[in-house]
Amino acid sequence: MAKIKMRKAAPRIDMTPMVDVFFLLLTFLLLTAQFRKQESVTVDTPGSISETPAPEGRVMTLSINAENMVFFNMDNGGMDTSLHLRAHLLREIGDFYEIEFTREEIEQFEMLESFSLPVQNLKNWINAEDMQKRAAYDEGIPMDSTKLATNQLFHWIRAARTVEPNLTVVIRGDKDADYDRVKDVINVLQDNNVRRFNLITNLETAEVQLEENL
Amino acid sequence: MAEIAETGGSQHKGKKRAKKQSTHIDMTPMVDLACLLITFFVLTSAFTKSKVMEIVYPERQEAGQEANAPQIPESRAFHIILTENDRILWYTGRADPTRETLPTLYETDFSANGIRRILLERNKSLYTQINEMQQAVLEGRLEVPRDSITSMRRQMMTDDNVGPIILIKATEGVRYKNMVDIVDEMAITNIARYSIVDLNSVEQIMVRRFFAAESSGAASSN
Repeated sequence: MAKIKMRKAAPRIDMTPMVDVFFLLLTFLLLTAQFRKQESVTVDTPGSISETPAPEGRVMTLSINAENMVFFNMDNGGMDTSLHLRAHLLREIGDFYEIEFTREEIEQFEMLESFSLPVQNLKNWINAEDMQKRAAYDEGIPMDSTKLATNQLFHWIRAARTVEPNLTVVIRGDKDADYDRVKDVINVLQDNNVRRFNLITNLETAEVQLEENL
Repeated sequence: MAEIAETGGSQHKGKKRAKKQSTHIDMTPMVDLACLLITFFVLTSAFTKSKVMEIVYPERQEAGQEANAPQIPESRAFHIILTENDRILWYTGRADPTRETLPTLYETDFSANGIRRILLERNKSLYTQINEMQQAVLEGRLEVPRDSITSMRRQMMTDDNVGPIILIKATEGVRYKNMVDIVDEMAITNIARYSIVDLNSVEQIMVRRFFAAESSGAASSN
């Protein structure tokens, strides 16, 4: 008798729909992901129960790290890439301190992040080769609050607000930073008539008991 | 799919044809890669969002000008003085140098049974009022749009006229974390009115005396 041979079929599963879904997800995530630039300042923010998400776009960030050094940063306009806020900021500061910046320097500055240096070193900082060399310039923005003429942080904030009047001010302090230092920064902001700030915090929960304890 | 055509094609007699290979591609590596990328994006994008706490500072006082106390009813005034090493001093009423006795300073800490409990006790009516409203919304007894919960809460805070009015001050050497924590406590305990102000000269003396008494007390007990 002739044996009927069953054709051995490989137990294949059609993966096409799964792949379709995966690629759809991948595309979605890729397009919606907002890439955060590597922050050059390490700041361990304190926790709070606040659930308000951090503002994005047109934000001026003043970071205070654990060594009480103040860093200034302003974004380039967030999602709206046509704004070139940083370029305008650099021109404004250049006009004020009578420093001439080349086109390349302005373009380079647009791509950079926070800094903490006297304005005299700004040119060298922009032209430095890499982030490590730039980090060597971190020595603090002069912010002697008694003399407005020498308070460079004041002029950075003023220039930033001239460039973008609807700027959100964010303070990103390390939890081990001295409050006095943060207060100095806040005082400079107050001198600029900024009285509403956002303090960056991590989300944490707090348990509250009322009834049984009273 | 592709295999169905295979049987139909081999009906011709005699002629031997090369068996058609099925057009399956092994998609496993591609799927692996896609999975990996998805995992990467999910993990990196979702958790980097940081939160903010909004805070409004009072107008700056001119340098050299003594910080004059805001006019607030003495019975509601509650002063918090943050000091070094996470210690909190507090007093009620007004520190008036023209009076015979200055208010007593009490010490507490940042734990749930410390400053939070003190604040809750003082702010009990407003806290329970807001809490009840939020509970009612959660249980569906009260149907309001999501946005109006915040405005209802704000309205309750504006209407409140018994809760404490808190003035937060800090001595030198206080860490930034302490300030954020205390402002956070205000949010946790639903304090309607608070403000961050500078320490005045009377309070500086009070704090100095408090620590002097503490160190002399510690010395005499040894």
